[in-house]
Amino acid sequence: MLAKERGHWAGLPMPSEHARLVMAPNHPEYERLNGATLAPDQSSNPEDEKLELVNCWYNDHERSNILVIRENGRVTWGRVFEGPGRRIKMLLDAALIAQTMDMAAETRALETLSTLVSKHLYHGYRMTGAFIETSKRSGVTYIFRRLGTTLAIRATDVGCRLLAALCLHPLGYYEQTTLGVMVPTDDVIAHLVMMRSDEHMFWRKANQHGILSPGAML
Amino acid sequence: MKPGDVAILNCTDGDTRISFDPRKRSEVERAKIIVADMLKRGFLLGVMVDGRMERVLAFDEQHCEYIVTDYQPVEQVGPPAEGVVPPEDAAQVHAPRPSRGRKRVSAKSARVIAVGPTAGGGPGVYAHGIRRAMLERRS
Repeated sequence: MLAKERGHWAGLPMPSEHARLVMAPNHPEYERLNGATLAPDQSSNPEDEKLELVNCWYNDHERSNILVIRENGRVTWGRVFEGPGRRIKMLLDAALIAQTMDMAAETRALETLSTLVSKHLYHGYRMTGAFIETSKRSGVTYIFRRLGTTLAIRATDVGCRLLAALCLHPLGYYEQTTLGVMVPTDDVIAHLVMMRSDEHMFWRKANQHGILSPGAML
Repeated sequence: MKPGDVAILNCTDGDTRISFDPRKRSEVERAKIIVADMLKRGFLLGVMVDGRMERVLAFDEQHCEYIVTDYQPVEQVGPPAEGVVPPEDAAQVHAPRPSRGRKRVSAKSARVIAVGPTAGGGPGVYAHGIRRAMLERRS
């Protein structure tokens, strides 16, 4: 009700104790909700404030994110191990946060999805949490996945090549998890609608993960 | 979804429906305000036109019409098969495209999905900075 009064047509997300919120920069409540958490102690270490991220990439061989950092004007580097345990933690955090979401909202999202895809694709989604669609404009095939990135694949006569794992959440998401602030199927619908109506924007806005990085959720 | 419906993906309710049902005048007035406001706030509105989904570029409140790009359908074309001589006008493939027109779609008959502004991607992104404790090794 409050959200509607203030013109927040997509609602207000709920902070969680398990992860901090990351909000879309042009959300009306960005200043208030970005970084919000219900965790009791979030006092940041003043030493951490000095660390500024310059660049970051995933190293498949080391299974780590390599971070280039600027500290007191000096550039240095470090790495964060991102092995299988990282994927498990992301899934568990998402499961804990999802407990606060409304089951009726997910049911409504499923109803909406059933109007957007054919019956057999919808049944496939209910059974496996994923469905496939090929873009008429680009010929790229997408695998839309519940609680996962959307996989973009180029199918040729020779075989298939995974182009990228696309991660994108409307309104916001919970940091270092696979969960957006909307119910999982609403995120899938958002990917589908963006791909169909403005594929360039979808690629531009999405975070493109490498195949082996934990963010790809493969 | 019925013709005239707009489904707004919502983080509280799943999706909120508003309608341009001509039998409900007050609902139409409310929908006009909401759609115009959503476009101003950076929402993406996808509308079904001739079996394809197009992005709504603007909304004409006076006539209750969505304005979308008027695409000529472009089908995916693969490379010519071996031994096939390309047509004489093949060079025109790379010619600059003519500017696209605009098309109007009546809100009373259209089905629309509205998606809020995006926050980008999730896992693996240090959106709120990095912590010294996370780093395994530095030199």
